[in-house]
Amino acid sequence: MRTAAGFVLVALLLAVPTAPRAHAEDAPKKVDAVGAVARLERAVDAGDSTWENLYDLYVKAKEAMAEEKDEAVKTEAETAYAAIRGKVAKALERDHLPMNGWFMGIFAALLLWGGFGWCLRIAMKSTPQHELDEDESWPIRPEEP
Amino acid sequence: MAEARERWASRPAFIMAAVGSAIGLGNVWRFPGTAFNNGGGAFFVPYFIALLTAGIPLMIVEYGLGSRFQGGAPKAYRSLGKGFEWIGWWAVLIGLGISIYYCVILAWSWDYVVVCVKAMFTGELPWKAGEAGTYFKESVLARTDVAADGTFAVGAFNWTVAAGLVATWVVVWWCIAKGVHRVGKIVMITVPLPLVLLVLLAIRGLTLPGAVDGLAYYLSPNWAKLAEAKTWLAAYGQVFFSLSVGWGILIAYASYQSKKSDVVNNAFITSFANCGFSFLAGFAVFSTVGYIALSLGQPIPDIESSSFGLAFTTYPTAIELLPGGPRLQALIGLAFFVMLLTLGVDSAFSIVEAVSTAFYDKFRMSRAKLVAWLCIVCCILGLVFCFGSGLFWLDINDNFLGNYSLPTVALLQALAFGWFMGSKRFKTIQNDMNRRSELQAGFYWVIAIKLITPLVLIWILFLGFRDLIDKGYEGYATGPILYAGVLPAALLVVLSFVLSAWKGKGDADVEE
Repeated sequence: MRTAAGFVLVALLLAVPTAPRAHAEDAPKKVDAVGAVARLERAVDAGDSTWENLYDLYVKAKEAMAEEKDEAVKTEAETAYAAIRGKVAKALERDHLPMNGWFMGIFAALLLWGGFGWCLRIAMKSTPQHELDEDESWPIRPEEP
Repeated sequence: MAEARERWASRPAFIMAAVGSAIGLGNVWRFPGTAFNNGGGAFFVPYFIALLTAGIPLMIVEYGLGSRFQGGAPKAYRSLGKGFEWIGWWAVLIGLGISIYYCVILAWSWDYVVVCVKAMFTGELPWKAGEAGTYFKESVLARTDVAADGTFAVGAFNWTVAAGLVATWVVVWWCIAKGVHRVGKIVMITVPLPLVLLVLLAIRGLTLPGAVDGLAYYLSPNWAKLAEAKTWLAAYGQVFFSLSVGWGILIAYASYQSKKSDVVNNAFITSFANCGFSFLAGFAVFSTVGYIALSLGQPIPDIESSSFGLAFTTYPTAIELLPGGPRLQALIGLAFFVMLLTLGVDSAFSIVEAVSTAFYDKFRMSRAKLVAWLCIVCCILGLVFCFGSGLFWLDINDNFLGNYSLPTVALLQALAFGWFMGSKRFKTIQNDMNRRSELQAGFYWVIAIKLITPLVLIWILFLGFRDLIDKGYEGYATGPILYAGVLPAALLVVLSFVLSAWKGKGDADVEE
């Protein structure tokens, strides 16, 4: 038992200093804010990305700008983004509601309308509030054992 | 012997009051933005699941406790166990803390209402498109700036905001001074009116160019987001914050119902009404956002679609861009800000009602005096937020009370009710609710209360505290965070213990 515990302890001691290093080596190199904006611009200019891919790049660029610690890089990225904002807006335009958007909207509306209507219908049939205090027939159902 | 408890005039009066409390500013400025950031249309799936597994079950508990024990949150929790009374006090005191700054936001809305009325006569709005943010910052708030080290100057006192604040508190006092009978009449106006205005705003928004583009962002589902834990947390967070559960408000409101009144069905009606309003608000918000994006040539996600930014920058911008001339623009602006005011006022007075009910139950003081004093004290404390730095104090205060204190007290309530009061008592209360309800709180409700709600709240709190420790809050210095965040939050805990230890005349009426 002690031997096993000793092995575990040694393994942990060895793993702790190596783990973060190994993690850092495996992690993909973080793209800075300027790079993220440049990628977005290239995709917009190429014009062959799907809306979803383009939007993904847009979100990544915005996140990179928000998280950028280096003020100089941040300013450079924001300036670059301001310059391409018009064409990004154009590329991200959706001048119609996609089919699945219609579906989700109608689904939510029906669920809420149906749920609310159903409950309201039950409510209409129940005893009015002001009569309850004097209602001798209460409880409606016998107490469960 | 205790005097007979006041009663709602009718069941619809109670439901309208509860709906009015639940529907607030968050339905307009939080739900649409949260949906958009968490998968658009796909967000409705976790949202409905959260509603059914946490929001409605918690609301059932609050209605059940209030009507069974005929008292506000402290009395109801004391009835569950002597050691739980402080949880009830903490819940209502957090609400009171929130109401102090919530009314300041309504004071800003007053400012815009006055400006819009003026513009209807003069034919000139005081801000130009693209300058609405500057107008809000400089003219409405007279805001100071945060330095690079996270500190900020206190700034000048803003008399206009202070006047709006006093007006708001006078309205709140007037609404609840005469008890729930008057509240029942007032909510028959303050609940349908914002709904009508919202429908008008949605129709106006949907008939503008670019509206469909905005709706595409709101409704198009991004299914990949459902695989992310943060989407589910956002859904549960939205449901907790939006339904007014955990504040003690619904317990107080339900305490003015008969002991024999329905519980479960009322909870469903309130929740569906609240969610329906949020869903509709998304149409008004995103159609307008789409129009602004098209008019200014900006991507839709660049336009602020939530919080203060939506209400006080995006909407005023949209108003200025609308076709039809300045008078029509001012009219639409008036509709929007009157909607915000009416949405906010019934939420604000419901919070004060919860506190006054708690004090009345414990100390049997004169209700009219109690309400007047609460309003005066809160109004004076709210003056802190009328300085140039008010927005920062408000922001920090809101973060600590709304994001940490409120989920913590909701968790304690769920644990006290679900686990610590004993299974026999749990079963008794469940049976009592079911005997008088059309719909039954069964197995799914038990699982939701005992497992899902506590686990989700623990997870929300863990992530919140981890973020706070890792990143701090919005770059503010430690000093303001301590004074405006940690200290008030801690004070409320101490105060709740003091109040629960205090012997009051009403303690004798507690059913234990």
